[in-house]
Amino acid sequence: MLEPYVADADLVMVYLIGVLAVAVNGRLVPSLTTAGLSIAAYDFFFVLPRYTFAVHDADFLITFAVMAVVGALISNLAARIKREARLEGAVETERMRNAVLSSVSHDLRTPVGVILGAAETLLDTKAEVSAHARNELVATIRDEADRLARLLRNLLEMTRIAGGGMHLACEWHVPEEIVGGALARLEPQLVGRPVRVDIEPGLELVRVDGTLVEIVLVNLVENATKYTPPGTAIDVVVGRRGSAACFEVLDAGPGLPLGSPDALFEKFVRGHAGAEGVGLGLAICRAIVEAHGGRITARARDDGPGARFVVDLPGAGEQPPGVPIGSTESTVSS
Amino acid sequence: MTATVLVIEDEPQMRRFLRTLVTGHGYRVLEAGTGEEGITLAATHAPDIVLLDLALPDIDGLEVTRRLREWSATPIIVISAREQEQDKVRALDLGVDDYLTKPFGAAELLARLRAALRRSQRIQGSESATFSFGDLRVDLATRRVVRGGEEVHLTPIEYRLLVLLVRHAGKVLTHRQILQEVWGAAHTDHPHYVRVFMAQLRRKLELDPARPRYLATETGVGYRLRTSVTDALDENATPDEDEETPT
Repeated sequence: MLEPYVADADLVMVYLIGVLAVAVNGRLVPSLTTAGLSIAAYDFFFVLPRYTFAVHDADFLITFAVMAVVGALISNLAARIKREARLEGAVETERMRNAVLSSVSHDLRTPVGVILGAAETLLDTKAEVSAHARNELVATIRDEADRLARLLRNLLEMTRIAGGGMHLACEWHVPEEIVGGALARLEPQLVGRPVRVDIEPGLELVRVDGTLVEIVLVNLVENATKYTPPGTAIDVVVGRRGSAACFEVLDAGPGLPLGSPDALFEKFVRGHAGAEGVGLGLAICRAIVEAHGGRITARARDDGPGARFVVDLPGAGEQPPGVPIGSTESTVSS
Repeated sequence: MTATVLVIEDEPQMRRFLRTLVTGHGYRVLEAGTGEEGITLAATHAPDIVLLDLALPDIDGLEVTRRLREWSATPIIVISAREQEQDKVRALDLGVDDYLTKPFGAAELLARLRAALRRSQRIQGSESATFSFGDLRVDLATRRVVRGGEEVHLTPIEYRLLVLLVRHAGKVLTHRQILQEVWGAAHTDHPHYVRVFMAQLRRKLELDPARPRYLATETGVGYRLRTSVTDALDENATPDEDEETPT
């Protein structure tokens, strides 16, 4: 009944698309099976005499043979492409793992060494250690343990993200609160530094994963404290750009290192060789920002010396339905 | 009278650290290595406060909380790893009083212990009618809020929110708990209500709303009214000292 509308050639096209669809979404055997079944169905329903597997016109045997060969080729090709993609993923994971191992052994050995040395000195009954020196050693143990904790936190975060474990829990957040949370976490590093927070009035709420965006800001502000001279100002600016929320961290330091600013966001890249940390902060930022569908860029400031990190996140579009507020009268009763 | 702390923690080194720290500051210690043991000890010894690690080998910390809360109002402070944020919030909603995230410092632990004990020792009905922190004075009787001598006008919701924080001063409140108390049970799925109003409160009451001294945000969990600026890190007070300034 479809005869006037469907030519034989069209049916063959449909067949090919069908096989390709199964090959891309499934595996080799199902796609080969699809090919076989499709050819049989084509024979049964469309090739004269209808509703039998017999064939009046011998030409169709050649058609079937070609369909079978093409179907098999497509299936094989798709299977091979998928296998190669999987391999590439495995190679990348392996490379990551090696980089992590070498970085870990290099950067974590020092604090561990210091802690061991300090502890052993304290336990050494033969050593003459004054009370003052004792306190210093213990304080050193605490400081190095702190450093280890921070390094490990970054490593864990990165491993979780790289393992595809980033699951965004987006809610409506007050931008000032996310900034405040980040600054609170960095209080010791921010001592003696003027920090200016500028939130665009009217940007009430942004729809993001608050915990993750806070991590981005912590990493950006922490970098600013690491790479700029003590006492120099750090600015955090939040504004709206269309339907995107724009978080910026600006410093007044020496600016970005030479080379492509994009390279800074690669894993295990550090601002300069002797810097503290494993070099994952910006990579983590990028992973989080991109998971939100946003963009993070680094550039020089155009209003003076220093670096400017810009994070654009979608999520400042339509504001959520209004918050029930009750009456707006004040509470003062006469 | 010295307070007794029940430590429910499976890792021996952690237990040792907690025991040393807590006894060094004048408390008595009871120890349990599993959840069941902890519940039994709580029932037989009636400790004044419980330190509970959320990750236990036999039954998880949330289950321990549920069971303890069936018959006990003893303050519970949970210890959790950074990744267990959901569990922390769930524990707070189940009735746990406060939390600590590993790695935490000794000062933080002691401050939380003291605050929780203080709160539980306060007798109901003897609540003061006014509350002061920083240059702010909240008079619950006349419903007035004064900042640095000048009156602050709050909307009814803002006031309800502030009073809730004041009544639970020093204790963390989850978004859900706040929503329930201030907006009612129907709105517990809208944490952004709380965020918007906390932002408004901070703007009216804090010198720098982005870096509040008293109306503290606990990321991923909720809010806490700090009773003193150094509430989180007070190393000098002893267990029985009362640091609040109710008038």
